[in-house]
Amino acid sequence: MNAFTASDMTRPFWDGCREHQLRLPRCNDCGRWFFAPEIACIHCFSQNWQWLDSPGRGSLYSYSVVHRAPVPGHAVPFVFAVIELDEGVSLFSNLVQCDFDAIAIGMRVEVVFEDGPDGRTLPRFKPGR
Amino acid sequence: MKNPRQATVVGLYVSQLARSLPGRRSHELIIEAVLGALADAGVDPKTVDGAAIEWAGPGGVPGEVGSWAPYFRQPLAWTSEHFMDLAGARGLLKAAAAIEMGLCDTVVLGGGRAGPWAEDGTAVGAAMNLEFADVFGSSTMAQFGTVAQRHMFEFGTTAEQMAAVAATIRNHGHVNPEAALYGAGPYTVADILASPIIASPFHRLECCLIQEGACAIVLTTAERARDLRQQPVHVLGGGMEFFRGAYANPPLYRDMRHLGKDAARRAFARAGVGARDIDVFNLYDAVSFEVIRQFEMLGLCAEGEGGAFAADGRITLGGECPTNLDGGLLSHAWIGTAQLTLKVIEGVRQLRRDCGPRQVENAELTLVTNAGSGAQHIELAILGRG
Repeated sequence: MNAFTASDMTRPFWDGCREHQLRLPRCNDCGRWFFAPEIACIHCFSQNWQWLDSPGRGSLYSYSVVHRAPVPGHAVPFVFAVIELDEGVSLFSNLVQCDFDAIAIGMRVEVVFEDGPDGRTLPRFKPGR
Repeated sequence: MKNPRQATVVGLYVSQLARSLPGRRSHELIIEAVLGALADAGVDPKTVDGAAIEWAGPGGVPGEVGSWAPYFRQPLAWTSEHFMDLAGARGLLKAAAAIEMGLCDTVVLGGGRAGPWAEDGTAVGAAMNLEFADVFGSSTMAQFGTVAQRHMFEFGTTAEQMAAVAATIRNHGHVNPEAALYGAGPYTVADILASPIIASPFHRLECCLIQEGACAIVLTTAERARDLRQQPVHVLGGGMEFFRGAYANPPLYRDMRHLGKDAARRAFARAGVGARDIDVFNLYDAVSFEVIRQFEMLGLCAEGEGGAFAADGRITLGGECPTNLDGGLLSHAWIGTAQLTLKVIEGVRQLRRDCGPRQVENAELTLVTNAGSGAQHIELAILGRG
């Protein structure tokens, strides 16, 4: 897989991951969180937003256990997860350190940082409190 | 005639559909479909003044639909450009709007593909250059899987119910000589559940095919349609919804639960009919679950009851909601974006009443849907026999 290059807009997120710190965009005008990062806050159009640290806690909104490799060489099976963070935003990730038969929608999860296939450090999630 | 400019489907064509069409090229397949649909309609290419046709090339300008102009009435009066506007209910509705507004009079819509979807085995919807999705192993099946999994969690929808939908639709394809998987069944619920998991909760036989082939339709005004050879099929109404750009952000069930309801309301209001009046359903069936969700979307059953509703024989030829009688994307064919047009074509053929053993008797109205919850957008159209 080709090495990943972040854009100026998204670099703080991936730099944060490398430092094992989850960061999320929060609007300075309306005070709301959003994800993924975009030029403007999706709630109020404001371009005045900043990256703030997140404790990286939330719950498993839903998931799919994937057995068919999405791209050649991708290890299977793995858990493709939709995580709902306590800040109220949701993101794609992977659920790790969890037996497949212990997966339960709604379970508490917390972020764990792992090396990705393209040089990125990825925010994945494990069962948490 | 109530509205002489009412958009009317007057021609259609489907090429050979197969897992592989050795030696064929996309562009040449598309030309076959375009000429086939025009011949079916009895329309001279030089009277076509609108195009919503994939331009595969080589030649012309890559992706630019105006490249078709020299083959038709030159200059063209109207084109549609985005690849999703060149197929299915969305393409049909945008072309219909253009015709009814008088931007053009006769449109060919079509597309298709030859050659492997991905040389290296990359799954559909994976490696889409989506920064916050691809790297976690995203694919179309996995994203739809998360919606289905949440529906199962909230309402107790079962694997057996979803498998019953897949078995029924695949059995429609099993007896359709035109389907890519003609004769491959019959399938039982147990057969579906015995196939390997692709992305839970979906087994392989609950996921759509990947095929090669092309198709096209011709639309014109109701007034011109009267002088043409085919039974006219009118575009009675339609609607679309776009929740967010597709596949970049999670499709949360709590957002997707209502996806398509406004579009359906708009479509049925314009058509002056209700969901219970529909004789033939051509629902988006990229995965088994989405058929279940769409019955809930249409209000034919309550939210959460779609599994039981769809699994008890209602969607068969003799049932109260005959659905995807050609075999759908699960068994008839999936040919890239033009898959969506196959839904329109089966609807039109049912209303022409030339579907042979799979014909719904006295079919007057059909509903065609494209995309759905995992994709975070949907388009639907209601067609009526003229």
